[in-house]
Amino acid sequence: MMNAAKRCIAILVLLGVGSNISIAQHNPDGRKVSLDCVTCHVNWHDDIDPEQSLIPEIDAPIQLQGLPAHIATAAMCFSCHDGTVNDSRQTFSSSNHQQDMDLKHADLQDMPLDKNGDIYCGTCHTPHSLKPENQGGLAPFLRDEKINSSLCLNCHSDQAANHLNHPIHIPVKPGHKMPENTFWGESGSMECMTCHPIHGTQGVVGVKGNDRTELCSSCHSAYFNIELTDHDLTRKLKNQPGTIGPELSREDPCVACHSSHNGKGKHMWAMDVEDASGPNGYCLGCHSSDGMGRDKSFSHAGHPTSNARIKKNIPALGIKASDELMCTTCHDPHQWDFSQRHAVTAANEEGTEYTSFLKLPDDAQGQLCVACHTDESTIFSSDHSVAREGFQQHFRQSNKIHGQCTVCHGSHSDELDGSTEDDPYTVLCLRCHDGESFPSSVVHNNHPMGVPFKSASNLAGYEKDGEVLLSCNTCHNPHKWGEIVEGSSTANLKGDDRNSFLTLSNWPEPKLCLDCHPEQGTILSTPHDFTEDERSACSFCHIPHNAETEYGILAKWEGTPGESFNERHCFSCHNEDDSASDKLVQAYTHPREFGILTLPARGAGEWLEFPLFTEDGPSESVGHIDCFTCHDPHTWSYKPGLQKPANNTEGNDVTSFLRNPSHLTLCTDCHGENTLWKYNYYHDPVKRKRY
Amino acid sequence: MSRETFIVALLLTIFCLGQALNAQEVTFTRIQKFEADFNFPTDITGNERGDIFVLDAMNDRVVVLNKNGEVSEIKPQRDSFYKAVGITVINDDLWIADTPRSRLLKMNMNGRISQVIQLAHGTEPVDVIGVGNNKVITDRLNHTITVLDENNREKYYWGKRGEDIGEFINPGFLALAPENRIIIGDILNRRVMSYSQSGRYPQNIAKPGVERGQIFRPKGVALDSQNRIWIADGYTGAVQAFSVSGKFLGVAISNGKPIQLSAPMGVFIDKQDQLWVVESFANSVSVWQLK
Repeated sequence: MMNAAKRCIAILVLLGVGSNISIAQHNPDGRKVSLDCVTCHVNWHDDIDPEQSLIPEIDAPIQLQGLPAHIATAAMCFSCHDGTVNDSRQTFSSSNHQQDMDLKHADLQDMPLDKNGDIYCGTCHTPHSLKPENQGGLAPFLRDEKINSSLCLNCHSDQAANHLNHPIHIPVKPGHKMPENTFWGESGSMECMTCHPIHGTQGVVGVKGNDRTELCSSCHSAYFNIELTDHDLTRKLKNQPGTIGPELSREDPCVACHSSHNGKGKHMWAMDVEDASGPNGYCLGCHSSDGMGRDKSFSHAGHPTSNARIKKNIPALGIKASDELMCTTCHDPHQWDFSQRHAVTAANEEGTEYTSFLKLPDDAQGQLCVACHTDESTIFSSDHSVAREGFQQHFRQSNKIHGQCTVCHGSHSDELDGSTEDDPYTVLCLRCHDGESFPSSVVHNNHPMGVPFKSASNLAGYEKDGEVLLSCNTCHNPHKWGEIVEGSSTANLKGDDRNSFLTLSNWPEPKLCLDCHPEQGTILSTPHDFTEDERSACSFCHIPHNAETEYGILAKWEGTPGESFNERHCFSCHNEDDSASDKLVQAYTHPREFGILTLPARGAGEWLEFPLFTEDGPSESVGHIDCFTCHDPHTWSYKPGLQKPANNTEGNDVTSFLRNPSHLTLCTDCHGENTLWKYNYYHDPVKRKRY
Repeated sequence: MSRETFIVALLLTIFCLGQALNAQEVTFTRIQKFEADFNFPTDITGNERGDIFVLDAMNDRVVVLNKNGEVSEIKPQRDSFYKAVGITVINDDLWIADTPRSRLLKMNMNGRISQVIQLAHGTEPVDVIGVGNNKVITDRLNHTITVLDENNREKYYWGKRGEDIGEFINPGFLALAPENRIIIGDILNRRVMSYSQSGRYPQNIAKPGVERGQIFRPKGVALDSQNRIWIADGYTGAVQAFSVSGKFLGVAISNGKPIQLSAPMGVFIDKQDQLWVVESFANSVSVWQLK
């Protein structure tokens, strides 16, 4: 009886008390798990009576790769994160990650979705990961690292492609204005969550609707100098129908050209880009003949913008060696005026050398151009500096851009590309050296221009019909004045053979002249070599601009006696009062009445070896005998080896600057056997009469 | 049939009948629902005059409700108790458990914070109730129960983190039962216990589980006029009644099924035995008539 009672009591105890004892729990693999596990894995309770179960009907299984998974639901998360255990109410109430996204492309191997296949807390978080206070990319309780954006890239790998999307893993710029609680990656790099805080009060930091102004300007404030300029398309085209950019009706000046993700080209470009246009396609999309910026359309004339590489690092322009030369080498499309001193006041403002979206100004120091063309900076201290008085006024009146370099060089025009009929250099130089604008005119009796030439140094010229013709740039480099003579001022320099923008130094040896006229080098060291402190042997008799004569560009002789230009030129020295007073010529004139010769009378020989002259210069067919008929003032002797006389050497019949007498067939035709006597005593007033 | 067998069968019959009687269902009728632009409200309390106060700390305010459906708010100065969790009325003052700042705040009905009590040990108070001249606080950081004296100085604390009797894993909401018994929701131990004010004489009220008569996420607790302890389950959404001795008395039923609230938290039962419950996830307060 007692035993029966004990057994009854035991059964009663088991039934009454045991029913309230926690029953064991197992995971889906059948392994017994601890109470900690069922804290979240509610379904791991064993033998739940469906009739008695209070588990909410909404608790449909979470999916993992499309299959049911025993992973906690959002409701389970909130049952602790409601403030009683942990407080994530701010997260739950914030603009969290969008849930109903198209996840077909996503790599979601280990990332569960809710019963509807949507993103929920557990997609990114798991309590089996690192606690928030832990160091490491997996905190707080993340399935993958956010420190390097791995977590985000599981789904958003297509939004991390370089150039089409805003870059990640890059160091943030100093001086940014992102909020203090902004997320940064390791070493302060920018990551997905830098802009997309996931649980912030805003979906994306600093974005209101489609206006990303606050976000973008936090790091790229300098780019916002674009506002009000012609490149501020949002403002320029506000409320206009168009296909450029996603939203032009907003205030965001970036949005017309840039899309933070999935751009249509590099630089997160929002517009269509033609691959054929190369790296300049971004600019040419508008600056083409039918584009929005057609009033500033691009042509291939002017400065090259493609197929060329930068040769050195140029920090001032933010470019480095081997970078391709392109529009953005010189232009910053975000910055109308680099100095902010000439701020734009309205769209459609015409640019100047300080503005025009130039990275540096083309001012009196030509900063932009000399950043690359450093050798040309010598122009600033010359008479070609636009700082010189009169320059600015002259070019402003002509309504041209008046930067140091753009005075002469049209970076987007064809002024120097040789496409015009005229010699472009002559046209360009004569804009100033025209005899009216500036004192240094070159309007008459100049060195022959537009003629072929042979240069030992391959001096430049301008090309026409495949031939290089002589022009201003053959002898002059307008960027290099040359040797600065002591005591000279910056402007109004008086030029000589040491400077004068010559391409080759012409002093003391006249290298420039001899480069094309080497045969005249025989004059050096002869009695006709009058090389002086600032004048070469050539310049004593020849001046290349505004000369006395067109032929020979002879120097002015001013009042010297003589009937022909030969005589006047020679007698300017060979007179009693001048340097060649010891070599006076008492008799010289060949009778003009007998001097009119025709070709048949010349006989054999090259005519220039024994030229006749008119007042216009040497003549092949008709002319008279003059000084230079018998004398070549450049050559002491026609015989090799006698061309350089010793000091004070008296001349004879093989020297004395005489031409080769073997060519005297001209004389013998008239004078027959008397020729030699007449030749020998030509300058002897007594004997020439005798013969 | 032997006598022994008969006795066993009789006892089994009696037991099963008792169990059936135990599995009661208490019909609930929802009489009102308040949606006052709440932002994850947490706790609810009331005073003798029938005013109901809802702690809407994410909005930094206390919302005042009454049965006429009128809604007003008490708005203290900015950021007074952002993210606070618990609220109670003691001597006609509102006391707020300012959880993240380790403080108790006494707030007048005009919104003035008249007293700030900084708690020691980094205590993160979840709920507070008045017991005589003392105040009892649950602490989610240290997993303890702290008792303050009439001068609001710490008198003693008891408990520690653990699963044994007298231990807690995240003690949550509180209620006061007859004889100054403290009813404590032990959230992550998935149970509700009662203790004396000093932590002695433990009594299991609700045990872990997800079936009727069991609790999974004990949140708000409150006693009705019959001293039934009503417990809201923050996960299942159920509201169940237990006796002070731990006997399961029934689950709240509406439309023939256990009610399933949206993340219920604080619970308050007024003098008319109407149960006010905060549905945090739904940002609402619902009012149920108990029968």
